[in-house]
Amino acid sequence: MDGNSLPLRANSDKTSAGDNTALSAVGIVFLSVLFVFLQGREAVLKADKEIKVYTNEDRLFTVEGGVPVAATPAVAPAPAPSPAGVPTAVESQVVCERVADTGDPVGAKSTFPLTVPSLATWFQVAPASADRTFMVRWTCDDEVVTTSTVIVRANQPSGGVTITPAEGKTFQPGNWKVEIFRDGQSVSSRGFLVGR
Amino acid sequence: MKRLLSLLLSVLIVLQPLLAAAQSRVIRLPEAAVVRIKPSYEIRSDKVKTGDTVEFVVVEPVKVDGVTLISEGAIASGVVTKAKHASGFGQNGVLEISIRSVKFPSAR
Repeated sequence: MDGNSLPLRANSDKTSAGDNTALSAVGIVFLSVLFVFLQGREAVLKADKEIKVYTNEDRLFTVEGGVPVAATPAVAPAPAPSPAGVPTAVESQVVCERVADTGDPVGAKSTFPLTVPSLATWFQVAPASADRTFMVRWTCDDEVVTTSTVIVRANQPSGGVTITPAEGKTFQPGNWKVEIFRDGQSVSSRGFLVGR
Repeated sequence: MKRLLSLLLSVLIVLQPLLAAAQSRVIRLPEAAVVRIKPSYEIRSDKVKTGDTVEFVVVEPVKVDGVTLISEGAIASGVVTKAKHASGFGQNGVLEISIRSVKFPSAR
């Protein structure tokens, strides 16, 4: 009988060892699954993803025989005058260091030090029943620095955009201008200085 | 006389398109014109870094008055303005690209 009990214990031990192995495997699988769940996903722009972009400036093409042969920059047209009594799409705008969560411009001025951490433009519009899209263009010494699209939601009275310099850098010093476009027409602009 | 007139008329009809084609004119591509592009290759936040140049292809010709000003297949270039790898605890990758310019292959 003793002979029988020993194999049972041995079997028991073996079973126990097997359970531990199984538990370890489950643990590894669990941790792997947990890791996969916790691991963030990479941002991917797929090759077949179509993107809509907009041209930044007017361009004149000389066409000969139906084929464009030369392209030259054109001077942007003056903003279309508003019919009497009809306000322009953008009633006013300020350039400020940033826009507070409350929507208030912070540090609104026309000269900023080179160390300014960010620049924002904030503009007032008459509320409308539909969303409106504005394009905001920043230039420094007449060179385009960046452009962005601002969507002012229906019934909202204002919109704005904030830009920051590249990491570890400052804004380019010079004569800056922020310009707001709607439907390709410049509706407001404001000049300011950085670092001079 | 009638024959001569009809001959002159025929010559004019034949030459008219050629004369029109020879004339040059200027077409304006306005600001904020839409250009549809797609990346030339997959761009991943773990494969690029800030400052890298990335390439796009125009997928639809841009036409004004029936003249193709930007051809399908034209190359547009952009710059990665922000690229951050995904990391643990659900931190997803970040990818920001600024599209800078498009080449006009047809323009000299």
